[in-house]
Amino acid sequence: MKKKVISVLLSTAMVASLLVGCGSSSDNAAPAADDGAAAETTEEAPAEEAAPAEDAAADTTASGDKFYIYSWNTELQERLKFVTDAHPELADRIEYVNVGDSAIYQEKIDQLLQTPDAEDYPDMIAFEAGYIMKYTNSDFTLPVADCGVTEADLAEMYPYTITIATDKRDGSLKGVSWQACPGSFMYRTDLAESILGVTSPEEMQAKIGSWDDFLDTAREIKEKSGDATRILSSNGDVTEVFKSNKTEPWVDDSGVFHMDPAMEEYMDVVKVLEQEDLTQKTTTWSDEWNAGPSTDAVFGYFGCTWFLHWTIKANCGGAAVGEGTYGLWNMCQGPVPYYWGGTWLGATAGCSDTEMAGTIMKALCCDTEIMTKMSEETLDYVNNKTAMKTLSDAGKGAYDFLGGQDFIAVFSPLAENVDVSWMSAYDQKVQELMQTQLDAYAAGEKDKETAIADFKAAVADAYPGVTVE
Amino acid sequence: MLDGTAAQIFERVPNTENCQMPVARPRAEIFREGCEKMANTKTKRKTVEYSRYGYFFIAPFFIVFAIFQLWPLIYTMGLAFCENYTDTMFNMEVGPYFNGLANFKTVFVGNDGRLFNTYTFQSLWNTIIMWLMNFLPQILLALILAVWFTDTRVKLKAQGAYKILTFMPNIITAATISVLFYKLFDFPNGPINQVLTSWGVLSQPYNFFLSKWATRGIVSFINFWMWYGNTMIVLTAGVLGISPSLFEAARVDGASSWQIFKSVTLPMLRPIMLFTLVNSAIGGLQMYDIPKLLTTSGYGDPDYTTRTMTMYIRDLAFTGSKQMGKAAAASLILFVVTLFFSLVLFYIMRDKDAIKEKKAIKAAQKARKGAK
Repeated sequence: MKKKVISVLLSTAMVASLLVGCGSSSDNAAPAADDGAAAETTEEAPAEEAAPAEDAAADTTASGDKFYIYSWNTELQERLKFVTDAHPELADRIEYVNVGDSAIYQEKIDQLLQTPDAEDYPDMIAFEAGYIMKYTNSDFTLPVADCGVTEADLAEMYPYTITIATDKRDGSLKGVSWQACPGSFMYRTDLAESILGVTSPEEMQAKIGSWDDFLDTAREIKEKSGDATRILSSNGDVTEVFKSNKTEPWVDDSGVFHMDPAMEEYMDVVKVLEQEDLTQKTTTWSDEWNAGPSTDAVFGYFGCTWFLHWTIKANCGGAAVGEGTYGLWNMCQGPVPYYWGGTWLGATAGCSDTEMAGTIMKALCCDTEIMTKMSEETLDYVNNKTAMKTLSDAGKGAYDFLGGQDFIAVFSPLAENVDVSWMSAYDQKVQELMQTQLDAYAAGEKDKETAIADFKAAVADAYPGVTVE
Repeated sequence: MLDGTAAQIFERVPNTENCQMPVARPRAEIFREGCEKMANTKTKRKTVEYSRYGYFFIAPFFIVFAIFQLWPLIYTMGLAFCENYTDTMFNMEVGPYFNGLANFKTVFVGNDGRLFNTYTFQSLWNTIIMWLMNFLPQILLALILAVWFTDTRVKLKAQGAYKILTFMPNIITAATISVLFYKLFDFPNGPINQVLTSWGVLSQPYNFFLSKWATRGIVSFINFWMWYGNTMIVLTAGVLGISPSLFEAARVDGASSWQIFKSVTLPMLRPIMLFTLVNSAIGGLQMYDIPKLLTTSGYGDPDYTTRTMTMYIRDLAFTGSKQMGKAAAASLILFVVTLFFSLVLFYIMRDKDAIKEKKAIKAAQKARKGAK
């Protein structure tokens, strides 16, 4: 009998410890993703969680639980500070989950959206331009009107940010963005003067006003610098420019695939860049590529609003005029106007507190005062016309990193005219498939017809619902 | 009808027919008696039956196996005959609807109507090529090292240290190794490119990851380098399991090292070799981590030439349209191919003498019965 009791006790302990292991790991997976001390947090977690839960139960009604916001990096988290400054009561409830890698973000979100009852079901999710339509054209997201965001709140936004996030089926808006991302060509003023004899952005614009001019200038830079400098770091740097100059989406509303003429031109330009050795031939976002802005090896980059601050300035090798290449940059339009990226924020269908979602959206993306402050402090180009105009009028746009050039004045006219009719829910994946074939074509492994045929075959293979002729 | 060996063997087989051993009564009989006794006397059993506790102890494995392996296996087989994907435009799941062999048709027949001209089979060839490229040198080197390390005449020093060193790459995670090699072969300023250009081997930096054979070679080399230590240790254990008296006898008979290796070591190693080969074939056909992590896009650059079967299945099932049905069909192909390879290996490596022996015994028994 004694033995039986002991064995029952032991086996219960074993099963219980197994279950405990499961429970704590899933609870802590999200917040403890980055620190290696998951084991320690499991012990502390119950105590920490208990306290705020009691507080919340005391002062709020049923919705005392956490409010999960998912994104793939820390950018949104930093922007949310402006929201919590204005609404401190939300700070404790926001549970920001950084998936950490934009490549696996969609997979993660897709899984989470399937489980509306789960503890960590997202209440709000961030979208990138490459796949936002997959979510806004579905029942997984809520119209912002349901969260209390009105037409009037949207008045200051740039029209394209609204067009992108509108559900094609019923015309309701499903996501809002706090930033606008028109693009430009950013180049080194000192190299422009010493190699090309160019002294102003207007002159530079004249040198790269079309793709033919751009390639001529690229050859000139390579030749005159004696191979020391190239116009771009990677062949892929022109991708975003061409992508947003398509005239039709990859897949139209009736599910038919289109190979846009702009994409064929894109293939030609990349082939010339590769074959004539006009770029440094690095890979975009690689270490080599990131090192470019701090050296004289790269003449310029195609970049947008966030690119200026997060990529070029962050990699220029200095933090004030005179250090590294800080202050030696200028911007001009480049061969064609384009726009690149941006982050939208939307509420999910099972959002636990739509009122809170609405508050966050309004504060982050509609409130002129908060957005002016945000732009002034972070130099982000915010999605608010009045805010940007106020800053520009106040002379806040003059940027010492750009040698005093007014970045708001350059970006503003571009932001008004962004055309996003080319976008579709398929963009990111199709672009990846295109890139594979383009690499083979540029390297001379395939001719253009084969590359395009293989590209179409890859699209057909990835999307059985799409008609590819 | 009987040849010499068979007859000898036959003599050794105990003749059960004529043997009068004091056999215990059949179990069924005892059991029946016991039951009757119990029914009659209605007494409680005095003994504890321990056998059922054994079942309790092995139950967790079978429960976990059924839930996490058997059921997914059956489900995958079912999915392979269904149309099931997500329509990207409105993010809506289609199916699963039964659609017969349609998935297998897209897996087998290319857009141009040619058999096997599909991404599925392209990735299957890639896998097999990269597996052979790493496996052949791997087993050769491992075999040579295993023989050297166990040779009583060579008596290599510091074997332990060497074994640790060769096993090391296997302990480091694949992700780390991939990043290491990606950096080593970086273009244009990776260490390999710098060394080769400064030695004058290359006139200008070479982008290894744009060449399919260079990339395949790097993938194969990493796998070779990661796994030869492991294979070597398994084979060493195998060689050590061979009775030393066989080697001594051969040496006394004046056999050369090569003759000993060919006629003693290799035949005696057969069961271990079979294990290594089958293990490696299964592992090789499921190659995923290195090619996935080594290339920039993770889709088997350049132009899908290093995309393995498992990478492709994952791409089908979790990216783009999330084509679960087609991915399941491709998985079944992988399953069949793995099974085929394993069976072929089992056939090639079968113990021919043992089979002969068995046949001879059967024939002899038949002959005896016939004579009776």
